[in-house]
Amino acid sequence: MHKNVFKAIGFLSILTVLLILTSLIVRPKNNDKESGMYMPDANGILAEKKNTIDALFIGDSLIYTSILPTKLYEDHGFTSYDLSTPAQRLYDSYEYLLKALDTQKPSIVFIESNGFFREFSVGSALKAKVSRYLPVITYHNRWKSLKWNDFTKKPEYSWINYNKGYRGTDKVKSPTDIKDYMEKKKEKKKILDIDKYYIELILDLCKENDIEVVLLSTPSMKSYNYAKYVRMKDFSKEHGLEYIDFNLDIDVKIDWQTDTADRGDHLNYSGAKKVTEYIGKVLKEKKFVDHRGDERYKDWDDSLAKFKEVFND
Amino acid sequence: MSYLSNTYLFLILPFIVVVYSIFLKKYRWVCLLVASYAFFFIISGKLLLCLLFTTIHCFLYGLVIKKYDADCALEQEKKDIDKKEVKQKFKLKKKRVLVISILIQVAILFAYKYMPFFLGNINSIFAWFGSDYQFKISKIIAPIGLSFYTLEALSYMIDVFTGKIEAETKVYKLALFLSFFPQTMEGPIARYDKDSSLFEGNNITYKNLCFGLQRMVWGSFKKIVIADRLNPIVKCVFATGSSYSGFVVLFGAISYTIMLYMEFSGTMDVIIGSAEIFGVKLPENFRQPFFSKNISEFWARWHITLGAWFKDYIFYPVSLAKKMKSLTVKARHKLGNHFGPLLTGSIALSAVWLLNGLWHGAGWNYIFFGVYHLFLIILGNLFEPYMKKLSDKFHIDRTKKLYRAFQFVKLFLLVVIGELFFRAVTLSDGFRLFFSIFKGFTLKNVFDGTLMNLGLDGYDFVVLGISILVVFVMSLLKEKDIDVREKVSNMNIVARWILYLSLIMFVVIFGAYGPGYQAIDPIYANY
Repeated sequence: MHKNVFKAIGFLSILTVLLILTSLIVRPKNNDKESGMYMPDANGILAEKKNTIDALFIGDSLIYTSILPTKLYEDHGFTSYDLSTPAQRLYDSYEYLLKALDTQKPSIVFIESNGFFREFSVGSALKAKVSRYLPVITYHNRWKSLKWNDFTKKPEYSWINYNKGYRGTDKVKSPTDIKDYMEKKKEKKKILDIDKYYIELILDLCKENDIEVVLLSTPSMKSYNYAKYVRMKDFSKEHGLEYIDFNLDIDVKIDWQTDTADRGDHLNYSGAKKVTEYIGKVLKEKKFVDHRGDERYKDWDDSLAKFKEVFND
Repeated sequence: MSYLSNTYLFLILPFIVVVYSIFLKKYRWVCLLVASYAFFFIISGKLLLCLLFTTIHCFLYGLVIKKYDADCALEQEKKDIDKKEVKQKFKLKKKRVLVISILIQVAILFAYKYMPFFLGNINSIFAWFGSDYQFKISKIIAPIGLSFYTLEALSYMIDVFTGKIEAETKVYKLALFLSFFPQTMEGPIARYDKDSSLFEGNNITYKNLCFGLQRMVWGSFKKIVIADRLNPIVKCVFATGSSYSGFVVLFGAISYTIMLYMEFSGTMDVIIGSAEIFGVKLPENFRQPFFSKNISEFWARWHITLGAWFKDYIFYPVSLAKKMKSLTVKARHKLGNHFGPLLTGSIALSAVWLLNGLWHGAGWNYIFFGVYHLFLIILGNLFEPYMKKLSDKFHIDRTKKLYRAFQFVKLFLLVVIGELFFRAVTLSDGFRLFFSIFKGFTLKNVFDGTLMNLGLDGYDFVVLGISILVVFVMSLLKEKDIDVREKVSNMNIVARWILYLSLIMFVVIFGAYGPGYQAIDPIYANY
């Protein structure tokens, strides 16, 4: 019996060593797309100078189409980053936040609430957790593009994302019908237990790091409805959290004929500017520091210039 | 959830293994039953009630039959009574209960699986006759594995009726038999056995654990490395309105056939391996089907437990029915010893294949799939004597390697055509795809880069080639009765571990999972 236990431990140990070794090889050596980084836009934060980001926005595509960190910097000098990925599950939000906190000390985290209602399996959350320690799970497919460097070099993240996570567009595609949007109904959308578990993890993590949390519901005709809104109102009250809702509470004059890129699902650049302006005011009220002109933040000026060039703004 | 999901492999199964092993041997069935019901509930929620109903129905049915048998024996003991008559009387009573019970189970299956298809066709007929009346068709979600556990329940009922097995008096045993979590979703379709290892509460031994895990890794290799990697090609070629034709469609159909085999047999390996950990031996569902000599044999080696079910509960009862027997005698008289029995056998086969097609899905393409195989089997039976004569005349040795290779290619192509219709979204789409193969067919597509536009790159094709070759060689060894698993377990520990670790690492590195890949949903879980 003991012999078999030792054998099992021995086998698993060798397997773990092999997984670690392959992880060291296949993990991307830089944070850009060319180096094979998964979700480079969000992972752009890895190359940001240590402790230079004041605010983080985490969540799904609603974040990276609604929040313009470069505009926040241009208007107020606040530094922020959209830590958002398509259909981001809360376990991913948690992992991205953990990753960001390795190098950054933000004072505030805005969490897009759409993810609170997204279903996922425990297995996929487990996989995300394991991938953090064994990147081979995510990056195994890089065997196709391995170079000598991958065997010899340590990762050095140097790709600065001038968009700071924003991935929107200036295209316009207006919706055909906006009648039912946020129509009052009796039901409240349920937050699943597994989502609640990760929300608590995120809130605890923020508390431990002395980070203020603000819940955010950015404008979306397809993702939001009254049932979600009411649930979020209750949730924010229960947890004593500030809740900014752009679908009913706060009117930033979104014109659905001109401010959406995909028939009301996501905002376009014009819509994002309206939301960002409001967020800027919120941060200003919270007495965030203006970093414009500070030598340490000079690369933000470069990013802003590049961003404006691309968006022709 | 599939049996290859992280949730099952790394959370549910290990959790059940740990809890099971700390239970006392005589209560381990409780652990397996609770785990199985919880597993079913996680996937199908309240529809667990359907499984519960079928279980209680089977149990009560068994008790009724048992009571009739006891009453019959009692009555037969009385003096001055015609024992034959008594037996006949009770047989009739039992038959009534059996027929009603079968009808109830079939009705549940029909309501969940076939109602929308049935109503859809009725609506089409109404429309065809110019009637405006249309039935409202709502989408119904069926309990997971409904078709599998219904067939298991029916086999139990029929076997109890025929006296092949005794009625079970312990309801938990039936409940566990019908719900055992590794086979809930995709089978294999087991037969009830009172003394099954399922109820023994076997210890989890080192050997069972190693053998079970070994089989599960092998299944993962087939599913994750091969089947999931082929998914983009299949999706591309079979997409509604796709404009592919010629060799590309044939390549897509071949890819789908390989994908289906690797997905289903790979999942089966995971299922059988999971059960093996608990010392439970589930029936095999595959026996190197592509090495069959003809389509009939192929179906005796592919989804074995389903084929065996149809053989035992449809084919034999139909062909051995009194009327069929007398028809066979008449046909033999008129058509001779070859064609006579063939005619009546074909009637029984028609029932089997019509039901086989329908079992796979409620759609005309599935019915066509059944009819297609029926046609091939009847054709094979009809011409077999002539083929034999022909090969004798031309001195063709049918055991020679060259002939076997010809048989392999012929069978493979016939299966591929059948699977093309099986995968097609509709029957008309199946015909469109089939005929498009003959439009602009050129083998140039292999080299001109066309295949590289189907979602895979050159590296993927290399991995696929190597992996399929590995499966082929393993199947060949098995076909030659070489027990690879036993051979591996007899190797010294270093060689064995190198082999195991290599296979695991191969799956981890070359598996088609994660960013950029989309795993196929368990194909057979919908049945």
